[in-house]
Amino acid sequence: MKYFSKSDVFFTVAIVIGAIIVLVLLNFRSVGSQIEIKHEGKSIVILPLNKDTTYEIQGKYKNIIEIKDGNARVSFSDCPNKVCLKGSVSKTNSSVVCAPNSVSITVLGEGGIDALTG
Amino acid sequence: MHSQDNPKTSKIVLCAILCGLSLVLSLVDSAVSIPFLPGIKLGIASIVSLYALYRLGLFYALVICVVRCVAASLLSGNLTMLAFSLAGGIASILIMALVKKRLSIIKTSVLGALTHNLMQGAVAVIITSTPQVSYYIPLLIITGAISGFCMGLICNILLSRIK
Repeated sequence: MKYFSKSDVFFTVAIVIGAIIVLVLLNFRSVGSQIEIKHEGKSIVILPLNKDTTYEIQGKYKNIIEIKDGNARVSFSDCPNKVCLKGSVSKTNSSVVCAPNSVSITVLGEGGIDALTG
Repeated sequence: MHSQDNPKTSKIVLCAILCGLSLVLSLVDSAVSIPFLPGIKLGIASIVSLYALYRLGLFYALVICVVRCVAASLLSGNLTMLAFSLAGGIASILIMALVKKRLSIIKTSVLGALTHNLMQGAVAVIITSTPQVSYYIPLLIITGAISGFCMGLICNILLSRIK
């Protein structure tokens, strides 16, 4: 017995391909020069991406943000889900977010924030 | 499973069993993390939502979803996640209930998974007030479509075998 039809497969594959195209287009972004760290939507500090450093932020939980070799990431967090520890960013407008702590790290381009799509 | 003498009682019993099952599945779900894809979950608990929607109807599916979200967030001690799971779960059930008469189970499931992921993305944008989270959305759509297809397939098999 067949549990799925051809149109089901086409439907799913079309959505996946559409999303992959968008993903590829988004990846043509340039590498940024600075990162902006925000807590609860308010800008806390702007750091250059070309200098290796760490920055500690204490909200509801503690995050340590590390800049190394032009990449920014969250290197320590005592929040419960620790999803933020897995990503690292360098491209303009990309970001790492620690949702439980309401902290976000966003990469800025040469002239600060340009137009934001989406 | 569906006794003829009291259909309402058997519905309520089935609803309770499915509540427990979906809670267990969502705990298994949160224990499994996929490498390289932070925050992406398998979504196996959605099998129960889908099954409940087809077997018991919209009301019971919503009840099961709310019970699962509240109980899972109490068990994990993580109330921030309640907003995410409730918004995603309820929105996806409503969308699935809307489209299920016109589309096949698998298409319904795919649309439900997409709604779930997009809703969670939207809640993440609101909670963290960073529109840049939206760059994650294409990835959420890809994984949602694949997971939705698999869960729809499983549910299709379940619905045809469990009478």
